[in-house]
Amino acid sequence: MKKVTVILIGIFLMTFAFTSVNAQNTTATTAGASNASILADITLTAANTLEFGAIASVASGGSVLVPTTGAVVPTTVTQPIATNLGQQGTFSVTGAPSTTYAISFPSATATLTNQSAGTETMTVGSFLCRPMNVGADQLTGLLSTGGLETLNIGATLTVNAGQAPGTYIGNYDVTVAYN
Amino acid sequence: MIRKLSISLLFLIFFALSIRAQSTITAQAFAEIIEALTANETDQLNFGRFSTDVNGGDIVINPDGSRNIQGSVIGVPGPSSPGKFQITGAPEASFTLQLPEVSSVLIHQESSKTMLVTNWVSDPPVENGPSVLTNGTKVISIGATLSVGSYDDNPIGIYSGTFQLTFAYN
Repeated sequence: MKKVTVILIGIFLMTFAFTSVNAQNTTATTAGASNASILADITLTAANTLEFGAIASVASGGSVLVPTTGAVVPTTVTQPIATNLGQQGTFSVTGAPSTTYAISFPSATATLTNQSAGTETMTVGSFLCRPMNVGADQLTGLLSTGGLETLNIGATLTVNAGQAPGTYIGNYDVTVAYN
Repeated sequence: MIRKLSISLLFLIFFALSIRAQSTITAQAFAEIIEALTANETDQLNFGRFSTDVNGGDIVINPDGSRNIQGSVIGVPGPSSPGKFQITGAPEASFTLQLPEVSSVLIHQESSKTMLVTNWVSDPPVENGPSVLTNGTKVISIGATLSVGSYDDNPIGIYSGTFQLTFAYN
């Protein structure tokens, strides 16, 4: 019976400690506020679709890197359509002003499926994230004084040898969470 | 009892904070693999009919279809044509053309005597860089120069050969 009590207190203390950390974050980062308050909800809204552009398949296959900024980089494969070279995925994050948060990709890879044939797939991996208020590729974001940030998402698409023509679409997840 | 209540309350606050503190979204990723490039020869490169003499000469077929004759070769009226190739692929895709790097050898069917085709030119010119498949198609015209020898070197008859062009998405 005594043991049970000890364990209960242990859980209680752990929970309390965790909540305390949160509470400290709240007071420390809410500049100028006279009272501690619960952080505003953190929200994530999709803006631009992550696109790898139009790719000419080659017998040996290759890859297409969409960096978080700047031009898309094809390797071995070519992108012959100047108006369809791909683009970064972008998201809008809103939340508590001047607060840091963690960004994560719950799945390391995403699968794109051929919409016309339906069986052929390509894999997207090596996801990259650039919180634009920070201006570097990293997984910690910083909300502006207005409580906003844009995330640029990059990744690498693997094109298989002799990949069948068609449009390929797939989904990937992005998570943001207060630190 | 009071302790139990406070534990439950703390858990409640903890969970409430967790829900607010995280957000996940599913977004779309998109790619397109375009159809392969194909090329069809719609007109054969044809230097037409001519007669040669003791010194020989050159016959130039320009990509626009005009024919220039130099030296002691005499042109004979009749059909002649630049090589024409219809390239098909993804709309608005750009592609490059590589002209033959070597001479093409035309062989006389009866005697196995030969003539050389050199100085490959195209319309649009290769120097202009990649071409664009407007609406997914483009016609490329190929011209060249045929070197004709003397009557002894190149007896009367039909000479034929092949040449290789390379088209690739750029």
